[in-house]
Parts: sequence; structure tokens; C-alpha cells
Amino acid sequence: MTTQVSRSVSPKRSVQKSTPSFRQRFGDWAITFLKYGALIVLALSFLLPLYWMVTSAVKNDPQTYSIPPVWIPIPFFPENFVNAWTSYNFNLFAFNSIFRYALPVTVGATLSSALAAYGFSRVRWPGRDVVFYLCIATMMIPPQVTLVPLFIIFKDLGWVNSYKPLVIPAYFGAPYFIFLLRQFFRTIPDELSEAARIDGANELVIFWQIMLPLIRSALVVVALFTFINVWNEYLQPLIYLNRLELYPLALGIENMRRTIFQVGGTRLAYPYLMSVSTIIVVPILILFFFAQRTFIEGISVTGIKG
Amino acid sequence: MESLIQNNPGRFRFRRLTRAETRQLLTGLAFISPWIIGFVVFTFYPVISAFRYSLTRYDLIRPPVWVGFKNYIDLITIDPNFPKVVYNTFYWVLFSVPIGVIAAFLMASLLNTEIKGRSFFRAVFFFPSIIPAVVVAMVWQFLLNAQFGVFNAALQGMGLPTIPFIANPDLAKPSLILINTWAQGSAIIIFLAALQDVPRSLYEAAIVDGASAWNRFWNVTVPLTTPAIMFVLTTGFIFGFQVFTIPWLMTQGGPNNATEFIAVFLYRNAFVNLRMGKASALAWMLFVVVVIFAVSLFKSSRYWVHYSSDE
Amino acid sequence: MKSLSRSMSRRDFLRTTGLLTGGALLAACAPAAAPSAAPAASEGAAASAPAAAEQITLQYWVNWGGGYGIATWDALKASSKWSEMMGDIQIEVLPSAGDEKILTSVAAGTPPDGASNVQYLDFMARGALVSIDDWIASSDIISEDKYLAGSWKDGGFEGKMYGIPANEGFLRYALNYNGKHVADAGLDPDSPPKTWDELMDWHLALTEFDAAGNLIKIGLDPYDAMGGNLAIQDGFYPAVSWGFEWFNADAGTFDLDNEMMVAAFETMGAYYKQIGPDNMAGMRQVEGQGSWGGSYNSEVQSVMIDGYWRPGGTAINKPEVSEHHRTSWAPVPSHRKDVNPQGTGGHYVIIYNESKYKEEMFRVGEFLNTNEAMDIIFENSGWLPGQIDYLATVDSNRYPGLKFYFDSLDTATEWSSPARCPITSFARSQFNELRENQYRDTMTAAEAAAEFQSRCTAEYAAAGFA
Repeated sequence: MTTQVSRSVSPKRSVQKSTPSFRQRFGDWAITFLKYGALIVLALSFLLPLYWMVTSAVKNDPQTYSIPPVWIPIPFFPENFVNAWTSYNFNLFAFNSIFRYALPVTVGATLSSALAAYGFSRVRWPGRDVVFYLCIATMMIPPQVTLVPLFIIFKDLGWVNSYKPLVIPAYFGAPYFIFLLRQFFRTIPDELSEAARIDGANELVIFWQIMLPLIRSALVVVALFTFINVWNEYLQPLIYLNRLELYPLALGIENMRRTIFQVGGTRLAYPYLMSVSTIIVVPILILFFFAQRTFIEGISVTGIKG
Repeated sequence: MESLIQNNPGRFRFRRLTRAETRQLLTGLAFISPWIIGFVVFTFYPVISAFRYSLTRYDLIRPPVWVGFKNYIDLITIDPNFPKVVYNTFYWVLFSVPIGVIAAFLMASLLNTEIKGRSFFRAVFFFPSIIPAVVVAMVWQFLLNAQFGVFNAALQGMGLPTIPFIANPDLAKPSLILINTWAQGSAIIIFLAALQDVPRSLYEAAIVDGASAWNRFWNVTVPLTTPAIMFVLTTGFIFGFQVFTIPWLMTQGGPNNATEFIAVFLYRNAFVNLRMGKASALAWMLFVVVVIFAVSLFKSSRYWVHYSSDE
Repeated sequence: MKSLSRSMSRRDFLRTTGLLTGGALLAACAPAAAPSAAPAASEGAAASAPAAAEQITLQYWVNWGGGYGIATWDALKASSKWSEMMGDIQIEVLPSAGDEKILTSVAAGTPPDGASNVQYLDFMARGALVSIDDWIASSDIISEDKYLAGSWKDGGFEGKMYGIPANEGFLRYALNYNGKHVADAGLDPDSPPKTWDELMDWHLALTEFDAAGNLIKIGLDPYDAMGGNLAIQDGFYPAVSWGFEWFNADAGTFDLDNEMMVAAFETMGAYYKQIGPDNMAGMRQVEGQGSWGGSYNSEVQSVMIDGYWRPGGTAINKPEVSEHHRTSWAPVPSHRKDVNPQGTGGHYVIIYNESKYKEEMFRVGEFLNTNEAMDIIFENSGWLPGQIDYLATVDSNRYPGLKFYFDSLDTATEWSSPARCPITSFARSQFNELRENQYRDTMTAAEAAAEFQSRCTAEYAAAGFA
């Protein structure tokens, strides 16, 4: 039995503000200090690998392999970025990643998952939860073993050597996102749906005009995650794409890494790999900054707040 | 609302649906219809195929040969690596998932407070999870290296012995757990979104009632974010059991099979040892284990997850 | 409360369906409409016709990286010999294809037209390849007498030829060392060690640790490159060095549980134990210091057992290291001190039963065996074929250290070629695992050898080859 947390709370009372005692002020200050301290320490440790990646990108070989490690490379070599990017057809790979792969998948996965999540959470129908568990269960099979039979299916459809096997299945729901959106849908009280139904709206209208806007933050999260996952995916494209010109960025990097690893001791192997890596995370950062505002800055999900 | 199937033990009786119920059923099915089609075409057949393969010996080159349950039996009884692989996988799941979830929740909570430069800190905590696995492997290999890595350089600077993080069989898994915790960005975001949804009025009411910060955290924040916690925990377990890319790229299952997890072992069997049947059997055994875990989690969720809707 | 429309307006409905179908259409149509449409090879078209009308594009997948797949092939495609032999047939070379990709395609019945640097024998032994005897009979370019015996023989299985020797096929074993490192360590670069014991002395002198005990330079990593590889194109060096036949193809039996294999594990493992397994692993985990020449070129390794390509590879990538590059006989146990071991091996172009353009691919194999093509390959990557006539034209002083391999053609006393083992890929993964168990002391050498024997025997039988 779920316990209903009461949302209809007593009307807001103005909190009496008494002058804080010295002890209270010290306590507040200590907490703030600890808070910022923890944040800064954590931030530094989180940033370390990224800092390493970016600085490695502009090193030369002696700097890369120096003991002790070089923290600030002086002199540094920004031309590594250009040289590494042009050593392969990374511009084409970027185009492929964005327009042939990530964008179509993001649109499809977000919409279709939202539809399915709605059906699994806000409509009551017999057997619903069982089917939902089935949906979740499909996440539990390691993809490595379905690789071959799935490939055979796509081969029979004639989709191999194109982006179709990578994109089209996204339009049929992704269990991870169905699960996530269902959780968010379930935080919306029944009353909202009931009221709309009483008003005579059909389910599709409720979905599109009421529910989706309410979980907008979750939708943005889903879109962002989908984009990132696709941006970084290399195994599926490796299996289905037969031409270098079709490769997305992540696969381009993997290919570059395998090449460098093969030859052994190529000049500027590591700096070039780090250069390309730095460049390909930049669009995601930009995306994140835009998306951040949407789903983080005080968007209310439920229609009813105190 | 009466259910379609009467819960008489041993007897199922169907009754006709009311018009309203029929409409609900059709509506529900309509909404999930894209998923159903996708499931039938892209999931059902491959999964059944995988089961079929698990009952065969299949080298991907010649047609599969029926062997019955031999793959399963051999794995459990005579395979020299299976025990280690299972141990590795459970070790991973039972440590990395709870640590990751707790760490992500705490960081999200920290980020949810009034701090200057909130956007900046959020970006910082999220960055690691957007880096492709290939790059993560390369960067961390360098960072953790005994000769060239900054961590060991710092240790040496303090006069301490170096730590062979991923070169040592005993330290490899904990090192990977560390990296995994660093990359919990997506969990942090989900928790942040959920934390944002906790109505401010509840906090204010709690303050008025004299609740301390810890009290507010434990009795308001946590209960109301349990749906998100449930999600992150469940998916964490599901994907934790299938961990593959980082161990494959960074340590190739080593050193000395220390990071040979089930998915890694499976992959090696499928595409290196040409034992796709055995790999499929491993996958199905993993599947059963994950299902048991997930079902247990779902059943337990009744006791600790609070949803606002009863639907 | 905002009033809601009773039913979805037509506009809304159209918008929703439009969005979803639009997305699906975008996905389905965009790649096809793009200039680089799916090549002919992937469509279920009719069999390859020699008619001028149809543009043929061959699919050639290799596990080598972009150095060969892109750079060398750009030159090959641009050569006049290509257009002379292949007309307007196009070829798409996919580098670093990966075994998972190739196996998946084979399993689905859509393999590439040709492949190289894959597990050749695993395919040959399982009947996946087209036998090329007929084409060889009518070919002017490919014939048995042109090749080193070992290079030719390894392209066949049970009396039939399946692989066109191409790209690379010269000799496999020599001790490669950095003369400058050796001299700096107080040793004589002109008196290289012959036995494993002598080599250990060099190793101890050449391996360097810093004050804190970190590994700075590896003397010898015996399992690096050819020393520790077990592959159909490369052979298995422990068996060569200790002089035993680890797999007998006629009888279908393995001989791994013997005192020679035990000695091999112990002797070669000793180098790892001396350096410290964690140290060695850590050294290798840094990009640019990997095996197969990475660490040698980076000068953090002084000695390695490698094939003839090492001199060329190092010269092309790191001329400053190549200056000091020296080669000599690969090590043998003391009781075999007078043995000079050498081995053949090599790469092939294989064609699958279900490849689309088989004859055209054979012609590519022939192309790769023309002097022009072999010149281009030698220039770009330092690789040499097993073709006797061509080898005679090569300037063996071209790269420091290369001459030794040529000389060994005459001075070697024992010749080996890779064992025809249908489960080579499996055997290799077991060897990698077991040798690590041995040098990390979780298994004794005797246990490792016994385990190696039993696993291979069991797998051989279970795979239906017994």
C-alpha cells in the first residue's frame, strides 16, 4: 500500500524570523564552508581527467611520456587539434553522428518512449503491469548475444550498411526511457487525469496537452541521454556499417585508436587521440548547457504545488 | 475495480469487460503499440534465437549443432573460468551499484542547495558521463599508470609507494568501481530532476514543525524521491550485471581474469573462441539472475517507494 | 481551469502523426538519399556480371589499421597497375574491421568479397572459403613455385588452396635489439646472446627501475610480438624454440603436456617474474607503449622477438631508433645452442563462399602480387611478400636489421611453419590466460602445460574435428 504524502498542506505561514544566535550563525557558516569545501574538492577530482585530456591534446611526445607527469605543457601545440582532426575524415564523421544518427534517434526514442510510458502508467488496463515487466525484461539480455540474430533480421530487410538498423528501432520505444518516464508519470496525481477525462478530453489529448508538458524536465533528460548514448556508441555502428564514409564519430575514434595501436609508436599517438576526444565532447557540453536551464531551473512537474 | 481475471486459486474465470474497461484496454494498447511492434520484430525473435543458440554448438561459420543443455551443464560443472567470472560479476554489482547510487544521490543533493555557480558545478559533475567509453579507457589508463600517472606521481611525491591500480589483479576491480562512480553523471541528473520536484512547501512546513536539516533530508527528501531512487537502483543493477565496455577496452578482462565479467567472458567466447552457443547460454543464465534481482527489487518497492498516483 | 477541447483538433492530430512519421521517414530516407548510397555489394542483386554496364565495387575488409587500409591502399588504387588490371572496378577497403564484424557478416551470409589478417585457418577448416585451385591453374601471376614453401603451404588446408599469398609473407623470427641501449648497458652489441640463459643476462642489464622501484625500461618481454603470439599466420614460438610439434594436423593431436612446454613457460615466465607482472602490465597500459613495436619504438623496451617487418616498421616510424636497430637469432634453450631457428608464415587474401565478386577478388589478389603493388607496400609499411623473385630484388640493406632475415634464408638450420590447427583462435586465448597464471604464480608451469593440453584436446573434439 502506498502511503500518500499529503500535498494539500496548510496555507503558507510566514516563518517567524528571530535574530539568529551566534551559535546558529556559526553553525550556518560551518555548513556553508563544508558544503563549498566538498563541492570544490569533488569538482577538482571530477575535472582532473578532463584537464588531463585537454592538456594531453596539446602536448608532444616527450611531454606525454615524461616522468614526473607534465601538468602544464609549455610549450604547447594547439596545431594538434587541426592535424588530428584532419588525419581522418572527422568532419564527415561528425555530420554522420549528428544528422544521420543522433538527431533521428533522439526524436524517435523520446516520443515513442513517452507514448509507451503513458500507456504503462496512466491508463488502467488488465495485464498492464505484467507487460511492463516484460518490457523491462528486454533490458536484461546482454546485447552481445542478440547481435547475430538481429543482424540476420536486418540483413533480410536489406538494411545492412546503412543507418536504418541503428535508427529505426529507436522509434519503437527504448525500455530504459519507458521505465524512466513511467516513474515520472506516476508522480502526477490521478486527480489531474480524472478531471481532464470528466471534462471530456480523450486520452491522446491528455497525453499531449497536459501530461507531456508536466514532465518536460524528464523529457529533456531523456532527449539528452539518448543523444549522449548515441554520440558515444561504437559497437553497433561497427557491426552494421561497411564503409568508412558512413562512420560516426565514436567509431572514427575507435578506428583511429586501433590503427595507432597496430602500428606501434606512431608519432603523437596519444596527443592526437586526446585532441579528437576533446573536440567530440564539446558539442555535448553545449547541448548540456542549453538543456540544463530547461530541466533544472525550478520547473514544476506536478500541477499542484503548495 | 474488479480485475479481469478472478483470483480464485487454481481457477481463472474471465468475465466480459465493461464498455469503459474495453476502451481503457484499447487505449492502453494503442499507446504501447509502437513498443509492441518493436518488441515482436526486434526483440522477441533475437532473444528466442539466443536461447536456441544456447542449446547448440555454434561457431558462427558452420550451422549450429544441437547439444541440448550441455553448454549450461558444462559451464556449471567443468568450465575452469566460470566460478571466477561469476564472482567478479557479483562483486561488481554488489559494490559498484550501491556506491554509485549513494554517491550520485549525495552529489545531487549537494547540487540542489543554494550555491553560487550552481550551473558550473552541475556541468562539472555531469561531464564525465558524456565522454565516450573509448576515451575514458585511454584517459584513465594514463592517469592510473604507475610511471606516468598523476595519482602515483603524487604518491611518490609524498614518499609513498606507487599503486598499480589496474595492473594488479586485486586492485583492478576497485579501480574500475572508482571510475564508475566518477561517471555517475546521468544518475545525478535524474536525481536532480526528482529533487526539484519535491515541493518547497513541504520543506517549509517541516521547518515550521522544527525539523532539523537531517530530518528534512531523511523524512521529506528521500521518501519523495524514492521513485527516482528505485529507477536508478534497478537500472543500475540491470546494467551492472552486463558491464562490458570499460573492462573490455581498459583491461581486456585482466589482469589475470580479475575483470573478466560475464559479458566480457561471453564476448570472448562468442567472437574469439568461436563458442557462440556457450556465450548464449551465459547470456541466458545472466538473464535469469537479473530477472530475479529485478523482481525482488520491484516486490520490495512496495515497502519503500512512494508514488503519488495510484494508477 | 483551462478548458480542454472535447476531441483533438484535426490540426493537432495531423501534427502528432506528422511528427512521428516525419521522424521515421527522416531515418529511413536520409541515408539512402545521401550521395554515398549503399554499394552494390550489399544489395541482393544478381550474380556478378562482367558486362561493362554494372559498376562493381569490391568489399575488402582487413584487421590492419588505417596505415595499411587507407594510406597504402590510396597509393595502390592510384597506381597504373590497378587500372591496367582491374579496369574500372572499384574497391572499398575497410581497416580495423574487427573479428566480431567479420564473423557476424559470415554468420548472416553476407561476408565481404575478400578479407585479410583474420583467423584464416578457422575459416578454412570450417568450409567457409572458396577454394582457388582452378583460378591458380589459369593464373600467370600466382603459382606455387614462385613462393617460399612455407608461405605457399599455409594458404591451403587438406590439399586445397584457399588463400592467395599477398601483402606480407616473409620470415618470422629474429631477436631485435636496440644497439645503443645494449652498448650503454656495458654489453657488446656485436655479440648477441643465443640462448635464453645468455639473454637473461642481457635482460638483467638492460631492465631499468627508478629509485622508487618503478619500471622505466624493459629489457626483453619474451611474450611480446612473435615471442608470445599463437596465430595461423605467425606460428607459436615456444614450440619453435624448444623444437617440438605442438599440434599434429594429420593425427589431430596436441602435444603440449611435455617437459619442453613446461620449460618454455618457466623460462619465458621468468622474465615477467623478474620485472614484476604488475609492472609489465602497467607499462603496456599506456598508449604508445603497447606490444608489437610500440614500446620498442618508444625506447622503453630494448629487446624483442619479432619478424622481418620490425626493421621496416621502426625505420618508417622512428628513424632515430632504427639507426641502432640490430638483429640476430631468436633465442633457443641451452641444449639446442647450435640450432638457428627460422620460420615462415604470412598473410593471404581469402574469399568466402558467399562473397559476391569472387573472381574479381582473386584478381585483386593477383594485383597485390605484381611488382608494382609489392613495391608500394614495401615503401609504405615495410612489408615483404613470400615471393622468391621479388625478394631477390629487394635491397636488404634498406632498413637496418633487415639483412639478417635475408641471410637467414641460407644460414637457418631449422625451419618451421605455423601448425595447421583449426582451433587456433581458441588455443591462443587459452595460451594468453595460462601463461599469465604461470607468471603470476597462480599455477605452476606443469599445471599450465597440462591444462593447456586438456583444454585444447577437449575443444578440438567438441568442435567436431576429432
